[in-house]
Amino acid sequence: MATNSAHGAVAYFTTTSEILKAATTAREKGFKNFETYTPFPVHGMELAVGLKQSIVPWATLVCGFTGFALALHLQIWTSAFDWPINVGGKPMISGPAFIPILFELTVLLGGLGTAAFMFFLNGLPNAKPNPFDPRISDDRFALYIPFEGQKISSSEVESFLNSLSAEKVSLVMEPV
Amino acid sequence: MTSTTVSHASGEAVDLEREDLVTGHKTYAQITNDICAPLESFPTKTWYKAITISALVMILGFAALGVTVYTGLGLWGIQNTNAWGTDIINFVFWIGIGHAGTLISAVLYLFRQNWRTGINRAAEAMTIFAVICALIYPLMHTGRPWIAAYWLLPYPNNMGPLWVNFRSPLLWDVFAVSTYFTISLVFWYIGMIPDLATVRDRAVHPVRKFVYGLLSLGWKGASRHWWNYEKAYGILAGLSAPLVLSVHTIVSFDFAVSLLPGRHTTIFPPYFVIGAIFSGFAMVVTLMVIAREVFKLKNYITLNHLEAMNKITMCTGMLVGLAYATEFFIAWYSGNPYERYVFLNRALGPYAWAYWTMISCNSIIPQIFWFKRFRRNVPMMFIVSVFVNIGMWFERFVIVVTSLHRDFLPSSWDMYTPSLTDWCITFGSFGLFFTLFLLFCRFLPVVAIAEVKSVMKTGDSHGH
Repeated sequence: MATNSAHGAVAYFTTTSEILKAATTAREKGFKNFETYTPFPVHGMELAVGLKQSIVPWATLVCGFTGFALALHLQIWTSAFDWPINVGGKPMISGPAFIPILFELTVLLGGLGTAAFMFFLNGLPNAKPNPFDPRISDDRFALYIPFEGQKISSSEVESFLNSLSAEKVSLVMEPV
Repeated sequence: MTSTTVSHASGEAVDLEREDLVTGHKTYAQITNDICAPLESFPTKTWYKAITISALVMILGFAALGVTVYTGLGLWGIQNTNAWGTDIINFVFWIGIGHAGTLISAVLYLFRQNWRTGINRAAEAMTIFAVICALIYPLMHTGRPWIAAYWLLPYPNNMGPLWVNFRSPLLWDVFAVSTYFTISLVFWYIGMIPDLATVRDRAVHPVRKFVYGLLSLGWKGASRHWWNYEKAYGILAGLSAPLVLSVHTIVSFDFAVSLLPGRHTTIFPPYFVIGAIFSGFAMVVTLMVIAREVFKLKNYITLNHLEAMNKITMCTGMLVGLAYATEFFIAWYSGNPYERYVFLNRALGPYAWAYWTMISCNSIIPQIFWFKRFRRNVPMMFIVSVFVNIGMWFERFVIVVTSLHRDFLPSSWDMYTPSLTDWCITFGSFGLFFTLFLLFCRFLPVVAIAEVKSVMKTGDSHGH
């Protein structure tokens, strides 16, 4: 096969246990930058692939605090400084009355920030066409190993994939 | 894990086998085919008939809104005594309907109730559509919707600037409802991205491929993507859970922070939240019973799902009944003659029919779900869910109208009768809701494909 022009090789599996086993083996063999593609989140895949804790929650924390600070500033500044109005004899800075909007803006910015950061981390929106079998969004589980950066040759990577009793192994010509 | 072995009191081990969440021994591909089928074939005659009727009703509602904008609020049944009418009743009603979606998707997710996967997508869609219906009302209620943004949002203007009043519950409501709508929409959309990618990958027609490709944002399903995705989804669920409780709490503040007898009570926040969940779950049952029939989804939205929903409906129905009783007791116990009068007037006054409709639909009829036979009987649960929604509409009618129509000054007592325009707008919002729901069923996956696959029992062991 023309392994020279290929970017990597991919093996397709039909069950979650097979893909978990394949990913674990690939990690134990020391392959780098390999990736699995599954139609749904497979329980335990983060351990099999060896992923670090996701940094998404930090966005929630930062954006949530921003929302809180913004709401606090907006309410105090408009009600007590920019145009102070006496409403029913309530104090200018009416602490308890400001709580609902403090909460709502914290949640709003926290939620939007979480979603936006998740999109950013996942490189979405992404216009690159998918080089794999379209069934990876249906009922196939793929293990992709790029040829670049591995300690062993392309053909050895391919033969490793062939040794995993996959349903199908193919070369990937397009960049992933 | 679908079966648990527990040791019986006698020492014998009893195997508790749970019924599958997805019935019919489906493979992954069959699930995709079944759920994508309504999107990939021409709709049935029933669908066309349904959407024609609901779109006509929706147009009637929009026409009535147009006439109201052109002529003014005098077309409605409201007057000086009853300044709040069907607009506020429908607003609270629709916001309440919306609550079940977030509750099912967020709270049941956090409690790891896997049965939610069959119904969460449709329930979340219902939330979005119900909140859209609800948002029309406060805008129209301002009387001049074209400048409502200026009254409702802290908008820098040339009058000082003169700011909105942050001490007013009505303003809290603006923030609560718009936050709720935004976060629900984001949560719903994020949950749908992997499924949109599935639809994209199956698409044959280039236009279809392009549209779903755009909507799915180029999702690929890599493990690193899923890892961040699941984290973000969990956090959004965590944020939505207190949010959903806050929204109806703040809606109840619109009433409870006022000084009117019958409204100025501390029970209002929990009472409103539980009522919202109650009506929302009933609406989910109404829609699911129809959707599973029309779109052949009986293996995904099973009788077990519906039974679980009915249990929650009955439980929340009893909690609502408890709230009605508590209100009455506290009215008597307060010793306040005005408070006592409002409650006696509710039960025995000119609007007693509305009060007793509310009591019978909400607290008595759902009691039928004590019997398993009825919990699993589809026509029966459909009828009960419709009654619950009628009852919950009347609950809001009772709260809005009976506290106003006989106020502190008997010379200004008046009856409230919704006008024809009121009814057209009310029915129009149902038309809008069902039109949006029918379009959703036609163009988007009604069941969360990826989530259903991840909770189903398959031939291979997951090792957990």
